[in-house]
Formats: sequence, C-alpha cells, structure tokens
Amino acid sequence: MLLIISFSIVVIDASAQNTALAKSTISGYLRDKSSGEMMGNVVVNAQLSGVRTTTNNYGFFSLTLTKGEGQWLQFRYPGLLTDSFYWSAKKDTTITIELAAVEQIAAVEIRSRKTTIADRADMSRIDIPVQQIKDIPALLGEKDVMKVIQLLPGVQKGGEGQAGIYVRGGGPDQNLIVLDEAIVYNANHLFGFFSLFNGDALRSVELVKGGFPSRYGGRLSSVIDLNMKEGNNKKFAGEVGIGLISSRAVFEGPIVKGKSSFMISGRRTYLDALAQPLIMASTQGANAGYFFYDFNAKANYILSEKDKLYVSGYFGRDKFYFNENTADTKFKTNFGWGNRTLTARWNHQINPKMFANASAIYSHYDLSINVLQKDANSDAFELNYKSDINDYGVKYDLDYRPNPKHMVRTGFSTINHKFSPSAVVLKVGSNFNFDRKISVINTYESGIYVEDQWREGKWNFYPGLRVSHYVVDKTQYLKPEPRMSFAYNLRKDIALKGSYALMNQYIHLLSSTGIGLPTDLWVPATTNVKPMQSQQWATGIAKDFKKGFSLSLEGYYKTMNHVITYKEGASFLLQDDFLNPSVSVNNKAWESQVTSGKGWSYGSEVFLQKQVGKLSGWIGYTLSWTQLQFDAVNNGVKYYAKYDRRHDASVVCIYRLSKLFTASMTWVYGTGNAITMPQGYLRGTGHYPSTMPEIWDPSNQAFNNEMIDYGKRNSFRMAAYHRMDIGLQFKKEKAHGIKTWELSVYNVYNRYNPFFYYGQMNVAGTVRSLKQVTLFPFIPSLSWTYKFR
Amino acid sequence: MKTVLKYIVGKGQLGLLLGALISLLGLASCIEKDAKIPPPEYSKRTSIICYLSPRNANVSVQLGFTVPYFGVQSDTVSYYSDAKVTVSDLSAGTSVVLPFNRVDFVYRVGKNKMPILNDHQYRVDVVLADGRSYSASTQIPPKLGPTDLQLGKFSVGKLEQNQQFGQQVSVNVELKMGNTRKGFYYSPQFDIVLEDGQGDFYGNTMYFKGSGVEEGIGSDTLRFFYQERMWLQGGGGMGGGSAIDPMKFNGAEGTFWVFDKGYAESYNKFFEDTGNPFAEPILLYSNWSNGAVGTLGSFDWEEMTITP
Repeated sequence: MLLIISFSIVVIDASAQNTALAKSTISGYLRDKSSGEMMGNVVVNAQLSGVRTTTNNYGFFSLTLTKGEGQWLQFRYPGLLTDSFYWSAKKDTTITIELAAVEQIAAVEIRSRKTTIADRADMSRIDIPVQQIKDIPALLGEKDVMKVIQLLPGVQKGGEGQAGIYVRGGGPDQNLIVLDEAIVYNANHLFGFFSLFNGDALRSVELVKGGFPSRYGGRLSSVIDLNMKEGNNKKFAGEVGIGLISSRAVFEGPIVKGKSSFMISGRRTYLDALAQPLIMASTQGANAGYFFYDFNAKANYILSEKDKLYVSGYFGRDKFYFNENTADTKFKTNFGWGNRTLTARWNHQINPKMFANASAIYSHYDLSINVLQKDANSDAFELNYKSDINDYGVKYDLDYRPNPKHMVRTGFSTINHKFSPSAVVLKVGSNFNFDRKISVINTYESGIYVEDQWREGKWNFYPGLRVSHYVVDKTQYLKPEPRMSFAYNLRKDIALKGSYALMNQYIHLLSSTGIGLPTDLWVPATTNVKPMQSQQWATGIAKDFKKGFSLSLEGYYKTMNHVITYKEGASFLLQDDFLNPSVSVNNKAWESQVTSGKGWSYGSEVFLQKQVGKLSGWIGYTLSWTQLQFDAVNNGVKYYAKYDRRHDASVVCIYRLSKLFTASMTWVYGTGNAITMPQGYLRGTGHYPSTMPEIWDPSNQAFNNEMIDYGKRNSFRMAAYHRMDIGLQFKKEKAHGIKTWELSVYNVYNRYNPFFYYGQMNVAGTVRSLKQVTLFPFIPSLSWTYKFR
Repeated sequence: MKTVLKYIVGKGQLGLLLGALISLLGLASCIEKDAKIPPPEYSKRTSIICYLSPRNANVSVQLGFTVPYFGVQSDTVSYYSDAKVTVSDLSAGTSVVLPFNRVDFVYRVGKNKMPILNDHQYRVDVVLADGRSYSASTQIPPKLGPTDLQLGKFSVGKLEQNQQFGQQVSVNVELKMGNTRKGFYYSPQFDIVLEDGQGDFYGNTMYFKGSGVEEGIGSDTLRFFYQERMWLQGGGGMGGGSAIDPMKFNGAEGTFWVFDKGYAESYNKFFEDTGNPFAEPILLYSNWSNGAVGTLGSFDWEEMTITP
C-alpha cells in the first residue's frame, strides 16, 4: 500500500532579512494536520544542497540557503518517503506547514519523531514512541512509560514490579524526570508498582543516558523528558479506558478553533472499592482502603504567528486510610503523598533564525500522616506529620540557527528549592501539645548553558558548556560542566560516535529500602554533604539498515564522586519515636547518618530496533559492572552495587496482524541483584560501657552475645530474573470511534522471581533454610478502551 | 516477617499505620517458597574477643569461630582449645602465654601475671594449631582523675505544669574536659539532682546525645551537652506536683568511661544496631589481622561527682 501524505501550506508573511548576505531563510512551524499539534524533531531536508535541520520541541524550524537557489524541501519521518515542497528561496519566508499521513498497516506511530540514528550527532538518546507504550503488555494492563523505559539497554529496573530505574550504574535519585519542564520528585504510585505518568496525556518521551546536552543539568545518570499533549485545536476527541484496577479518560479539543485548545486526562484506581468488602469482613466493620489518582491538564493559545502561550499542570496523589468507629473508640487515620506541577510557557519567534521560550515552573511533593484517636476513657490523641519540597523556577531558552551548519542553543534557569524535612504536631488531651517544625531549608540552583549542533561535512559535533551554581545557607558551589558529542559518518548509514559529559547533582534522595517508599526523603547538598559529580565517556557505532532496522553498539565508562549511602545501621524508616515525649525527636541529623564515597560503572550496550513494518520492536542487551567504595562501609573495601547486573536483556515484539488485531510480547532477563545476607553468627562475650561500672569477665557469661556475620557487603546474588508477557489487542471500528479490547498476561510461564529472601527456622528450631517471596506470578488482565473521534 | 511486625508495633501507632499498609500490600499477592538457589556460603572465620583494663581481675581472651546462619543450628560453644595465645606488654617488654580454661572455654591468667597499666601498649598474638596466626594491639587509655570532668555552662528554667506527666522543667548542662589526651571519652548517663525553692530534692537522669562517645585528639576541650525538658519525680512519684520555683542544679554523678579506638568502633557498631529490619546491615567489626573477627579493646572508668 502506498503511503500518501498530503499537506497544506499557509504562507503567513515574508520578511526581508539576509539581503546583505545573499541568503534566504525559510522558517516556521510544522503541525499535525488532524490535531494542530506542533511536531518536534522532524527532519527538514533541502534536497539540492543537501543541508538539513530539524524542528525543535515546539515545531519550529529555520533553514538558510543561497538566495535564488530554489529547491525541494522534504519533510521526513523515519523510514517513510514524504512529499516535498518547492521553495524558490527568492526571499525570506515564514510558513506554517500542516502535515497529514494516512495510516498504513505497516506504519509506526506517525508522531514518532526520531531521525535515522546515523544522522544524529548525539548518542545515548532514545525517543520512545508513545503509541508503542500502549502496545506493550503491562502488569494488570496498566500501560506505564517508566516500565517501557526499563526495557531499554542501559536501563535496569530496581526489582519485581518496581517503576524505579537505574541507568548506567546510577541510583534512582540520579534521574532527572521532567514533565513539561517541571521536576517530578517521586514518580511512583503504590510504592513503585506504577508510575504516575498517564500515557494518554503524553505527546513525547525522551530518554538521555549519556552525552547529555548542556541544557540538561542537576542529575548524574539520565534525563527523562516528558511532554504532555497540547490538545487537538481542530475537533473534539477523547479516549476512555477501563481496566482491572483503574480507569482513565482523556479529552481534548479546541477552545477557539485553530487558535486555542485544551487537553485534560484523569486516572483513578478502585482498589479501595474492590477490597472494601474483604476489609470490613476481617476487621469488624472498619473502613480502610488505598487509592491513587492522576490528573493532567493543558491549555494553549496562539497569540500570533510568532507567539504562543501554554499552561499545563499535573496533580496526583496516593492515599491510604483506615477509619474505625465503635461504641467507645473513634480511630481515624490517613497516610498520603503526592505531586503537583504547574508550568506556564511563552514561545516567541524573535526573527526567522531565532526562537525563544520562557517558562515559569512550580513543583511540589509532600508526604502527610494524620492520626486521630478518641477513647471514652482517655484523652484524645492527635498526630499530624508533614514533609514536603517546593520548587519555584524560571527558565529561558534560545534557539539560534544562523546557517545550516549550526544550531545553537543557549539559556539559563534558576530554581528555588524549599525543603521542609518534617513538621510534627502532637496533641494528647488538652494538656500536652508538642509542635515541632524543622526550619525550611532554602537552596538556589541555577545554570547557564550554551551548545551547538555543528555539521561539517561528514562530521557532526555537539559541543556544549553548562555552568551550574548552587547556594545553601552560606555555602555555594560554582561548577563548570563541559559536554561534547560527536559523530563521523563513515557512510550515510553508518556513524562512529563518541561523547563526554560532566554532571553535578545538588540534591540527594535518602531511601533505606530502594523500593520507592513515600518516606524516601529528598535533601539538599550541604557544607558537610557535598554535591555528587560524575564524568561519563561513551563511544559507539550506529548503523541504519533497510526495512527500518537500526543497530547501535555503545560502550561507556562512568566515574562518580561524593555519592552518598547510609552508614551501617542507619535507617530513615520509622526513625522518629515522637510518641515518647521523653525522647528527643529527630535526634539524629540525617547528615550524620550518611557517608560519601566513589562509584564506577562501565559496560556495553547493544540495541537492535525495527520501527516499521508489520513486525516492530527491539532487542536490547547490556553487559555492565557497577562498583562503589566508601571508607565507612564494608571496611572501606570496594563492593558491587545492589543493582549491579552483569547481564540485562529485553526483547520487545509488536506484530500488527491487521488494522484491527495486534499481538505483542516482551521477554526480559537480568542477573540477580547483589544483596547483603547473613552467612554466620559470632558468639562471644561483649562489653559495653554502662551506668554501673563493670569489668570484663567472660567466665560466667561465655559466648552470650550473638552478632550476625554478613560477610562482605552485597556479596550474595539473588536468582536471575526473567519473565515473558504477552498481549492481544482486538479493535473494532464504530460509528464514532474505535473500541479496543486487550487481553494481556503478565509472567506467562509463571516464573517465581524473588522479591526478597529471608531465613526461616523449622518448627523444631534446628534448621534454618533460605526462603523467597515472589510478588507476581501468572497474572492475566483484561481492559477495554474506547477512542472517540 | 515476624521481626518486621514486632519492630513496627514497638514503634507505636505511626509504625502500625505504615506496617499495616506494607503488610496489606505484601500479603495481598506474595508467595513464599523455598529459594531455588543455595543460601549464602558459610565462611568459617576465627573470632577473638579480648578487653583489657586495669580494672579487670584477669587477662582473658575468648577464642572461637563463627557458626553457620543457615543449615543445621547448634547451641554448642565454638572454641579452639589448642592455640597459643600470648599477651605482651610492649612498653614494659614482658609477655605471658595464657593457658586454656576448660570450664569456661577462655584463655586466662590473673592480673598479677600480666598487670594492665594505663598508657602502656599491649599486643595479643594468637597462633592456631594449624599454623594460622592473628594479632592486634591496643594502648590502654590514660587514667582519669576524679576532677577531670568539670561543670561548664548550666541553667534551669521555670517550672511548667502538665496534667498528664506532672511538673517539668528545662535543664541545660554542659560537662567538659580540658586538655584531653588521645582516647575516646564516654558517658552514658548521669544522675542529676535539682533542688527547688523550699529545699526539696528531685532526682532524674540525663542522657547525652547520640552514642555519647567523643574523641579527644590531645589539645582540645571535650564537651558533653544535655539539653531537655525534665519530668520531675518527687513526693508521690510520677505526676508529683509539689515543687516550687526557683529550681536549682544541685549536682550530678555518674560513671565516666575512657576507651581506645578498637573498643569505640565495636561499641559504635553495637549502638547502631537498633533491631530495625529496614536498617543497613552492620558488618562485624575487627581490628585483628588476617581476617579474624572480633575486638581487642581497652577501657577504664572513673566515678565522677559534679557540683556547681
């Protein structure tokens, strides 16, 4: 079947610049014809001169050519031919182009914005087609962008069912997750089993694991840049989905046709409703449950051809509650955590070669616990605990395209982080009132950057420099961060690549367990706990094949300084004992509970991808090592990180049997986590300084102390993790939309992957054996979606 | 799981709340089975424990080995009875071989055979029958004088009334040691006495923050701070309310310890082990050579009385 692409062109105005240079510039925007959404990273190729550019994230492009040298301009989607537009180049031109594509059975999501990988100067960067997220089978049918990211090489999941990711040896706190430029601090629902990103609301997802462009900063290991849909400014559309544990909906449409649009989406679980009868039966009528919800909203307005405004927000929360009323007692408690983000942006095209974006950003994360108990015979007890972080930021970015060889970006950003580690109010009756609030810690994190995508014949260079600045109390840090990527095209379809990036991170995530608990605490770098820093070198080769195949081989080496970990015995879970009024609360400052050290990670990644055709998907494989060293841990000896996975592989296949029927499969494999387990006991007579002076005499107390011998840190390997998921989608076209049933199975061959291990004594108390806990066996699920148009 | 639940319940309602949530999720879907892989490999490690002090009646060394955590469990004492254990006073140039005592499975001599003296350096050498050898050394900390610890700044606030807990008062006390020599200084608690406006005495206990261990490096002044609201116990016990202002600090007394680095390190490990199942694991401390585990440490103490 032939692909037909038609487009309409609206010539808005012509400006007379470049006359002195005998050049002409064509600039403007690319939009999707059916929805009006701006299309980013589309390649614009001038066929005669061979120069090309790409649209930025807001659909803006600018191409400067020799005046009068008219030629065809081609707008390229990966692997597909496009029709062309002839431009005379007699004068500067500003246009808005709307592109439409008739869906082909074999076509991948038309919004996919990736160029051929051999074309690009940057490396270690993957655009994830949002449509593919919807095609890949998932736990309980809940499509999750973070789970898809875990299937990519160089990215490892934390554990069974976890949404946290470990990228090239970095911990989960080393990933910068931004949603419409707002930082998201805890991207987990339900303790990490699901992420808070509703795929229905997303327009694009990009993962950067190395060779970081200098516009990104603040985290060591990765950037996950998510952008929400803008909303269809031509007609109303929407989608509703019902699954086993949650339902979701998205609606979009014009506010003013052609000028303004909105998009809203929401999702909520009904776990609480499903579990309610069971809970009431087992707790004598108590009302308890758990739920989470997400709400995304975005609106935009085209002020003029050069100006556009956007406002977007995210609001989400998890909540656990337990209420019990009896004749004598009233007990009410809830435990909640959530994120809020708000971004306002103004796009302005300054001239045909220059585009600017200014953003104001707000982000919030909080955890709160409320307990109220009233007894007929004793005083009322009330506890309110809250911990939060608020970000207020501004950002300004400039795109400058002086000629076809250079695409310069520069800009700055500054964020005021306000950390409120904890605030406690405890009341007992009317006489005991304890109110403690730890002072807000104000920090300022700023950055200024410049980068250039520079083409010179077969060479592509991507140099950049970021200078970051951080202030906390009376301490400040000023750190330059050089960045560099390059690519050399051996042939049109093969490129050699290399990159270097130095990154600094000024905030840390304190997490005892690593399973994404809401009590995970974000804290700032201080005078005592210095910012983390990493340097990463990477090299690789990229090749494009026919029929939409591409292959990327990369090797990397990363060093990390001032990484922090908990000292032995430290924990941030259940640390405060503020119900005991005679004990000082928070009597251990967090700084004294952590220690800093170094890390090394190195490895190689293979990524074979097919993006078009009936069969699409990828195979990814990573071979890697990650080690850490802290003077205060493991007796100062280097050890493997928990998430050091020697082998990590994933296979993703999506097969479109017909327009209405799609089958998909994923298979993942990973070497087990490295954990610390007891291997022996030391029995002896200890001596501890006590209130009563006491000599050491083991004669009558022989071997009465028992201490666990763990051997070396992280010296035990969990069993390898592997599972297969399958999914079948059946679509049916209706008068006003498309109905889709999806049947999926998580863990098809019922592999009992261990979630954790523990030792258990037999009944006689004579033998202790190793036991494992598995979370998710074979789990089928069914969901229904209706996309109306 | 039992250990987790026990710890959570012990932490009060906050712990119950969080524990209930975690348990609800965990029990909802988890499957417990025998692990398909062998347990961590047991590595038999020689263990040696010895604490030297001028206060001890004997010089003793407890020599044994670690026992497996997984597999068959046994309560029998693990010991080596055929090793050669030598304690040497390097400062005096003397040494003694400790005989094995089959009653309590330790190597021991009376302190008359090997006096333990403050500021002297000692080394312990252990040679097993199979030829493996281990050693460690320690310097006995300096002797404390009864006036080494002095009162620094102190203050007592006004009385406050609480219906549930009785009277309370804010107390700030600083104890200090000037010109410390090297060593680790420690005080677990001091018994404090307050006197009210009518000459009645109220006793309580003050605990120092954290582990209470402070390291002296030779020239500085160590300070121990106590700062807290103190509940008064007097008259009819808890909830007594008969004290009147002004409250005065009348004095404090307690045991003050000093020990060496090996003792301090092993004590810190003990202090950090709160039984929290979510805490980072604590590896065994050792200052012995060749991979043995255990501690060679030394200590001394002095009973101090502080008066304003």
